[in-house]
Amino acid sequence: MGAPFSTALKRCSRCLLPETHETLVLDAEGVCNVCRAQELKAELDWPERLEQLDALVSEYRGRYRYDCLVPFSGGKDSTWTLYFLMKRYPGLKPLVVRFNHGFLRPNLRANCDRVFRKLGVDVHDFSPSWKVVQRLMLQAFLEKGDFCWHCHTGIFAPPMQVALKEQVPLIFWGEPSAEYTAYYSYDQPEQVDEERFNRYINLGISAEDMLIRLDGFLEERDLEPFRYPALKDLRGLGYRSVCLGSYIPWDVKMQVEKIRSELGWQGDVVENVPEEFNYEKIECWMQGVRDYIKYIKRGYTRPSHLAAIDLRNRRISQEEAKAMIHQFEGRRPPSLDLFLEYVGLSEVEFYDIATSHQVSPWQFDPTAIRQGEVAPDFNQWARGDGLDPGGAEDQVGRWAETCASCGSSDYCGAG
Amino acid sequence: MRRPSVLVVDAGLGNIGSVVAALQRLNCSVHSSPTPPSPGATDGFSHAVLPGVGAFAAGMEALKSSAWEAWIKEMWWQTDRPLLGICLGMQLLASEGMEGAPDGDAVPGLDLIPGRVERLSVAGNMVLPHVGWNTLHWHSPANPLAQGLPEVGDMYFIHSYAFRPRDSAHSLADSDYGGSFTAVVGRGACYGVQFHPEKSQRLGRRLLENFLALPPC
Amino acid sequence: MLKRRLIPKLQLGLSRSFRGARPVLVVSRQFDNRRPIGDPLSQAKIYEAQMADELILVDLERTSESWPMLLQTLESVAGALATPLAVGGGVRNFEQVQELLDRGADKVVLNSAAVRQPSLIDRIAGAYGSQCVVLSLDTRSNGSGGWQIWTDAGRLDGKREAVTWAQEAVDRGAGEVLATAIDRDGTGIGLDIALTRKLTQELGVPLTISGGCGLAEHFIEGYRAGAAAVAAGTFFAQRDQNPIQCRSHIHNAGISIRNCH
Repeated sequence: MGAPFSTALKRCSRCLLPETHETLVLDAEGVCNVCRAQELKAELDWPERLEQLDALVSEYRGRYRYDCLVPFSGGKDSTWTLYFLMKRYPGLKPLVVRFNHGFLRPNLRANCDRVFRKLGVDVHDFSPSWKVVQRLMLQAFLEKGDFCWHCHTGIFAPPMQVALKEQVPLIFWGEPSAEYTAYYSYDQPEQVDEERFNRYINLGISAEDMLIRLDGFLEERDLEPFRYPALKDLRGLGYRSVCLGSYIPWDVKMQVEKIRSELGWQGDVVENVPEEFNYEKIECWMQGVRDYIKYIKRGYTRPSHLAAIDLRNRRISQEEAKAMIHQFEGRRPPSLDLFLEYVGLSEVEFYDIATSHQVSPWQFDPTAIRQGEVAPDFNQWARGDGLDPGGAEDQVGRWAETCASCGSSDYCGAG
Repeated sequence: MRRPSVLVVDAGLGNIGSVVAALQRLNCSVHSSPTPPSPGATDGFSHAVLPGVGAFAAGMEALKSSAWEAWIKEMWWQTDRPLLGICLGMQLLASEGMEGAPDGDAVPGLDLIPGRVERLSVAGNMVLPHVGWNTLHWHSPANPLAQGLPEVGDMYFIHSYAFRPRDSAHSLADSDYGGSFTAVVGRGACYGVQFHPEKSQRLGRRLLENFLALPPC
Repeated sequence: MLKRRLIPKLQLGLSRSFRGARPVLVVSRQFDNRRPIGDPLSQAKIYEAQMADELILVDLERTSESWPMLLQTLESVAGALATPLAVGGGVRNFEQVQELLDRGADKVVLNSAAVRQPSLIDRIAGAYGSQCVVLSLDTRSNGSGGWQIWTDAGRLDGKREAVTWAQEAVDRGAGEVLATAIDRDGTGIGLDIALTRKLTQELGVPLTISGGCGLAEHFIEGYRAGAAAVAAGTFFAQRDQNPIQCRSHIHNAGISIRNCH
């Protein structure tokens, strides 16, 4: 039940993603809606969409201090987005907006420096206080089994605030979510707005809600960077917040090749991911823990996700996919030690909390944990300045008063 | 393209707040009134909406006593501009209705779209009213109200009676509850929806946008 | 085909600070242990973005102090949303029902007041239609295979058997029934399936069952036992779950429910 590539989960007959993948629905043929979205994607009139993109850019070009705003992480998708726009529209002046989640890896930083220098762009950076981030990480992990709330909201809300401040109405994001989940469909250009923010980005918790949940651990102004601006203000700006991937077909392998050769962008070794996918999720040293928690909750994680993409594109066989998943999935990442230190939890508490968020019918098997390998820059990842266990205990205690046991975990001791 | 100016008829057929709020969120100007506007003021509106909940007989009584019946049938109908009836508002467009009629006789309606409003006939264990989300099947995807809506999409219904148009060409979409029933009617610029677009989230919003996009706008 | 409904519950409480009292949403455990988890308007908008089929907004405080806050909250929620709303908590008389309907409630939820004065149901159904009236039952097992109703947010023994009371309420004009298992509330151990089956067998109106959802599987069990709708509060607030993810699971189990648009 709890092993990598568990056969107890219903799966897509094509990409092998399990039923615990968010929004996954299997049709009469056992094929999932994400695979079907790829079929739809192939049939869209991309030349027409490209024309729409050209029209959109000219509508805003030269009229504002910046022609557009590009939220940027330095990963493969945002690097491609910036590169594509500046290549197709020579002389375009974008404002690049970066959010520092606190775990930027050295190679990623070097990539960013290189790319910014080569392309020549104004860059706006924001780093929230580590003291604030720690509390948010712990609370989000307790409430939703996902400690990245500050990052999910930090990627999407601050750029909108900057757009308002700098009066830049046109905002270009990268891949549409329709590429990986079914919260949205490919048949309509995906609007990156508050509805989308609420639909799945913020885990169902706005900045105001998080302030209330934290019940005094943080102040209102601590949460300010994570607040999505009011619709009336954005409408007043005349904002257009869109995905580049609604106008050009997203093709990760091709895009990575291009940014490597044209910009010198470099991949990295990523915890518990095969070497050949070294372009994937290089921007955060907590990625391994994030993936591991997903495995505990849902019985699959990044290797399955990557295999699914290759299966849809017919690059590998199902046997090869399963072998890769067996080898890499569900291993305990070394970075877990750092996470525990940051949020003041013990490893036992970690498993208690993570398993309380399990998605049925998956059940994690705590007895079969294998160790994952260390990444080359592991020793450069920040240590110390963690929440003291007392501070963590207060926060955990408050949540534990009403947390519900899911009835499927044997050792949830939080109640 | 001119910005739509919408009149919401407030004839005492129930709370119109949600319909007004839904329209206000779209790009148009919204005005509601308990009494019909003068001929001069009528000219200033590009679209009209007739919301309503409750029984047919009581609804017609309210329209008559507030002078809205005359305004809709004579003044607005002459302008040939779009009208959208919602729920009871859709039903009142019919020639006659059976709900709330004393002695079981049919009560005359506005008669803008020929047809009759009858109780839904449902099998043994199915309950009335029909409440909840149900699928809309458009007869023609080219219909202007259907633009941008998925082939199989759900709207929110809450009713016990349904409109049976005399002319099948006036039936634009069906739904199914104990059998097929008409969910959208249309004749010329006059439309009616049995469901509540102001309670149907994204798809309802899109339908209202489509309505506002009808000429003259 | 008519779809089953998935209904997040928004439970209103009051949060007190030096600035005064403000409404907040709370989760509870067996009708106790309330913890604030968000702002009512923010959460309502989030649930709408997440395709909730309907929202139930209930005032747990039920005092004369909290009533104006319920009205205010309802007004702001109804003004911002395009989603059906069922509202209640401390509704004591006909005038209050009118106030709720005027501010945008589509349905009114009645519990204690209906038990004390059953003719209130007839009066409201007569004036506004039975589709406006939701009878809310808070139940505990009576130890001999049946269920007892409790009033006043689970504090007072209603001294009536749940199923017969529900039947009387439906006969008087209640168009829907909302049943909540008090001891399962917020525990995540699953819905009261026996209660679900009994109520759907006996009553001729749609049943919304609530109390105990901890897994998507629990929703599926509720629908299979005959519930037209399942309501949940803690499940969405304290799990890595949202109504869209949940409906995918339900859909995969072959149950007819709205799909993602």
